Amino acid sequence: MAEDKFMTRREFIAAMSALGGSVAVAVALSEIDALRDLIEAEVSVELPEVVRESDHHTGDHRHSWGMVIDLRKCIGCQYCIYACQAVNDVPDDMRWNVYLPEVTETGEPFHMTRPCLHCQDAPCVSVCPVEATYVRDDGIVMMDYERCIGCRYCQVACPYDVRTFNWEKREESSGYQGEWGQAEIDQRPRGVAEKCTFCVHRIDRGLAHGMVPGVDRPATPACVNVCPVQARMFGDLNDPNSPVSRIIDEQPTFRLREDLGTEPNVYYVPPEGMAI
Amino acid sequence: MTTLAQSVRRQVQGAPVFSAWMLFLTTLLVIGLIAGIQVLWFGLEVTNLTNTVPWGLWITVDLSAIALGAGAFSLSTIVYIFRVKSFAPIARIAVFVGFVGYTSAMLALVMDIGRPDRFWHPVVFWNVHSVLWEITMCVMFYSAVLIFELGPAVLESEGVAKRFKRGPQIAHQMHRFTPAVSVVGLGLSLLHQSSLGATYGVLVARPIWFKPSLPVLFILSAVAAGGTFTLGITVFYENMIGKRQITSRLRNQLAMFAGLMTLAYLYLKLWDYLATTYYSHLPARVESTNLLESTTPYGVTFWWLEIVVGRWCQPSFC
Repeated sequence: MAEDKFMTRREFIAAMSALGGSVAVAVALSEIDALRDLIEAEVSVELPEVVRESDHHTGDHRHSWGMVIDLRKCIGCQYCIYACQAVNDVPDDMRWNVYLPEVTETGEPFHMTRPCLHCQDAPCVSVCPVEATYVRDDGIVMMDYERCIGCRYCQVACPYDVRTFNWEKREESSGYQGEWGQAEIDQRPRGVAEKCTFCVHRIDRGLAHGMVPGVDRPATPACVNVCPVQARMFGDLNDPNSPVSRIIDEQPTFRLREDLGTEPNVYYVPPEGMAI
Repeated sequence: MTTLAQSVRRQVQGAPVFSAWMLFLTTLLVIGLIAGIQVLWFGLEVTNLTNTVPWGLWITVDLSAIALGAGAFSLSTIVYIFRVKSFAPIARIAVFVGFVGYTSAMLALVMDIGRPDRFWHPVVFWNVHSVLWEITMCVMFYSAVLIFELGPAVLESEGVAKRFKRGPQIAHQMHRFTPAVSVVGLGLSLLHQSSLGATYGVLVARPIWFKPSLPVLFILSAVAAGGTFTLGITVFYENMIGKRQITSRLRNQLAMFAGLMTLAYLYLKLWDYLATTYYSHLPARVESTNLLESTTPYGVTFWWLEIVVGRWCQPSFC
């Protein structure tokens, strides 16, 4: 059975002393300060973390951006949808905002619109196999179009049907520019999922210029700015004096499918005749 | 010296059934090649999938069909861990079928994602909360296990052993690790075969899928389907070459094993239906079946194809 042995005793002792010796040499070398700094610099590089820093803008944790949609005020003009399609360059079959005519339990018609609800415990985020979608520290659910592999699991997982997929390469712009605003972000490439971003480019740029999103128009989402009856309001849920916080404090509000535990950051003021 | 043409001619004359089968497979390969080029060139719009149906039937072909390769882990477990030596001939075939199944599933998955050029992203960008990430990693590692289990058979085969003299020697060394590798393979398989069910089971957005029983049901159906698939391929192969590969006793044992697994599946499925669908009266589930009936054209195919044929008839055929 000698040939079946993995190692002879002699080989084993040699291997163990080589291992021990090299550890001893490494420990001895790390006592030299200059070398230790060098080793620490080498060891501290963690590749995924570095990539995440550069790709993922995490936002400021002191804010929590949210929206209030007042269903009593909404007149169903759908300007919010068109403005969104112009600014974010979204074609008709991939709308980030959708409009649904609805009725209350008593049969009263009202106008329902739905952006991405920016769930704080988002189903789309937990299912993504590559962390291409994530909740920023300021509450915005973001997409990394450079990382998405296009598996469409987020689309299947979203209870609110918020996400759309780029099935084909887009040739032209959405067609809403000019009348409804200018395209402010690039078109998304073929094969990635996309969604409403709360016009994050406006928020980040506005904050850098000392503006207050929800109060200063250049830092506020396009759908909120364009609303002719101020049915949509935007602001910081962490700031008790923001327009959204004040409405949530003073009026009854609800969120869509709260039973699912997704914790959306979009609140609705119920229409007349709806009990919540 | 035999030329390639001569050897092909000799094989065609020797086994006309085999040649007809090869012709059939080549036709399928050409069709697949054309379809693959179309998907890569024009994008996923050629699949007729939409934002309403983002996965559709495709997902059963490229993700859930991994279950057909499950014969490899269940039969390897029987042979190498429980040491039932009489199952050894079928375990080798099962490992080969599993290897073909897993590699083709990975190829099909690359076709089904929107950005095939980023297929490696799950390896670099981890989301440990995602069952799809876990499946990707497990399938990858398990393919390595299958290569290791298949290795000795390749190294010991006549053609390789003649050219590569040390082959059998290495194969002998690899054999010693087979039980340990089988344990790893068993763990990886149970993990991702159950996660294939969890892929649907965790989706709170899809009330018909959303239930905790799916992982268990998927493991049971994978063990049953993987075993019968391997058996079916073996019988097909035996009929084609006209020579028995496994004894009829082993064939009966295997059929019995798969049948018992299917019965266990049906039993759990019955209680699952009663508990989660029939008696629960969950508003979301009732509403979703109503919506399916009233607003989509999928009501008929859902009840008759998926439930009646898929869930009840298919296990009884196996």
